[in-house]
Amino acid sequence: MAWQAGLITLIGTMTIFGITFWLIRSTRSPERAEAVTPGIYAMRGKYFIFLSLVILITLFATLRGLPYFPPEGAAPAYEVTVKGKLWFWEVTEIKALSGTTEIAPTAVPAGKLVQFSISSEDVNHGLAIYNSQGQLLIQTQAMPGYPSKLYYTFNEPGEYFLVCLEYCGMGHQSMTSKFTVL
Amino acid sequence: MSENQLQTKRLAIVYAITGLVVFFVLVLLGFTMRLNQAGALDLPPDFFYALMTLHGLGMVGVLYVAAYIGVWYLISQYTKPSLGLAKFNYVLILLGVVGLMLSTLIGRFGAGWYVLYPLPFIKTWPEWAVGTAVISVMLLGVAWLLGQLDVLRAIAKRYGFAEGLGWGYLSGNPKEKDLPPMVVITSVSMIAGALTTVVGAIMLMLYLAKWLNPALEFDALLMKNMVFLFGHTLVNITLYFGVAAVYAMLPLYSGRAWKMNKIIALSWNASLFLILLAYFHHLYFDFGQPVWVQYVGQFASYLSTVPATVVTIFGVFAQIYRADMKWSFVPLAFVLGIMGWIVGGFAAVVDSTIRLNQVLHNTQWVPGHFHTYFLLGVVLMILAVLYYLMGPKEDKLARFGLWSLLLGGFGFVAMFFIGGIQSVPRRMANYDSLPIKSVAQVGQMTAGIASLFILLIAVGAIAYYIAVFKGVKQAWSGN
Ligand code: HEM
Ligand SMILES: [Cu+2]
Repeated sequence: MAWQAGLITLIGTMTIFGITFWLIRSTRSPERAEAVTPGIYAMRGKYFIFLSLVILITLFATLRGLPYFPPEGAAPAYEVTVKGKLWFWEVTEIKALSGTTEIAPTAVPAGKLVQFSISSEDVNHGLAIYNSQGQLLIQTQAMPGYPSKLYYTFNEPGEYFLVCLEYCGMGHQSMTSKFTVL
Repeated sequence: MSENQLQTKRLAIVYAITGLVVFFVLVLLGFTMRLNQAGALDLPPDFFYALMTLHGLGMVGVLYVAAYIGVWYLISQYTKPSLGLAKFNYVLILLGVVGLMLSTLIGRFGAGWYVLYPLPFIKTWPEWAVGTAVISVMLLGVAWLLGQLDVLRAIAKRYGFAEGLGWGYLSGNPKEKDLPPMVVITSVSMIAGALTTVVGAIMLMLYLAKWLNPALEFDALLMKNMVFLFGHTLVNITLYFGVAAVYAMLPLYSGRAWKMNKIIALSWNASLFLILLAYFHHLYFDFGQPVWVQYVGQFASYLSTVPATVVTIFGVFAQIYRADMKWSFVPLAFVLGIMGWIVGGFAAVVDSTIRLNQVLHNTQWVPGHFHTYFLLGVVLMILAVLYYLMGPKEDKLARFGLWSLLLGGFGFVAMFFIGGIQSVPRRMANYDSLPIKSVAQVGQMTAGIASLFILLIAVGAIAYYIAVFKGVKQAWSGN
């Protein structure tokens, strides 16, 4: 996902560079303003329509599957409770939600929807989940007074890391923890 | 030049030189931070974060003030903002800056530039440092608010409040046939600034109350909304000040008029609302925020590209495309500054997409985009205005500085973007304790390469300073 953002931005940046330098070079063959501005304003009208369409389509395409709701149609099978405090993450409990028979699991199973219940005991923290290749998978803020829930299905077994992404004082850079997916 | 004009110009020069010196010191702090993240230095984390706080608050503040003074100076050809107030504000701002330096460098106050409640009140730095920081930012806020209101007053006196906002053009019946577009942009920015600075002032008073009485508790979500409404808008109008200068000054070099019209009026009035709604994108991952507000955040962020590109960018096209002009320092810095602003804005819009923000929020993508539209956008525009204010005619060295800054600057921000894509967190003193070694390595390596690019930025800045300072004496005498 981050790669897509990078690629889009790279293409955008190169286009903007190109247009700027083309514009600067255009002054080598000067022309009166009255001769060129009508063309520019005609182009502006087309650009306006184009931009409006791009915005509408992108909004339509991206304002879905947002992290504010559990994924459609699936009920979480496991709950992981995480508390943030200066300066560590404490995974206080991993439990199977209704319908499963296991007792007191110590790890999260792969392929099941997991609900993280996150809270902060002191200042704002940011809970991000990284896989062992160093990819940021999902995140949310842990704000004092506002517990939040995050949903994720881990498809690969392995080690996963919790990293604090909201600056929280002098120990912020070492506010990390980990858990296992089986 | 009348006596009042001369005094105005001299005061602008005093502000300009102070601003340039402070800016350079803050660049050096940035360099120090990058070296530390690269592993070349080994600063204690609390000191790193104190430097980071000073750098962030300092940069946001100094560039706001520099851009404000640019607009203040340019608008004084049409209307008279108060000279006395600007002098008074200079003192207030200086006091605020000294206070921030004491609080961060000696007290090691390190709550970051947006001082997220309740972080300032944790006990790792002394209480005096918290109070000093809060009072210092209050002094700055008071100076800014007074300055904003004064410019609004001056505009209203000359044109009338509604006319100054371009409403005459909206209704198709302007009283003022030659209203300079910069007046509308300035009015819009000052109104947005004044409204949100009041919110910031209220927030700071709550902080002060908590400092005096630690038993007080406030709602963290409300405080976060307030600080971003204030901080985001302040940063946003700093950019608009730069853009106002572009509208006012490009015509001097292109030889083409840039006239007020209905579309310009409409677009800047629309910006006034968008600016106040876009800050919600800072709170996408605060699930306490109502969900509809999150949609509004992405919607407003996307829509803000319409006035910016349709009106301003095509306006720049109409100015420059095949214009009979020479690329001296000032127009070149303006056009490259617009370029940096748009590139940074593009990266910001990408980041304001909630689904992408999911993996970019609080990674180095964020300093990536805002350093782009600041360092490569508004800073270049400010350097252009200051050159116009006091630089000599001979500008070869300044242009060399500009290219060095541009090259170093894009290299420097590219390292943030690359770090962000690879999930390197922002605001970490070092990456030694990150459990995922690949991320730590990318973080260190990009910081190291960025440090080299910063050297190019410093060379560029020094070249520009030498060039511009050669003209100060003459500018001071009014020529
Ligand atoms: C050569 C110039 C600059 C250098 C080397 C530099 C360097 C840095 C570094 C290393 C950071 C910390 C990044 C992190 O989160 O890991 C930072 C943060 C920041 N910088 Fe700069 N910067 C420069 C110019 C600017 C400019 C022009 C601005 C204008 C607004 C600015 C504003 C900020 C802000 C607001 C922060 C965030 C502080 C915080 O998170 O509390 N910087 N900068
Ligand atoms: Cu934390």
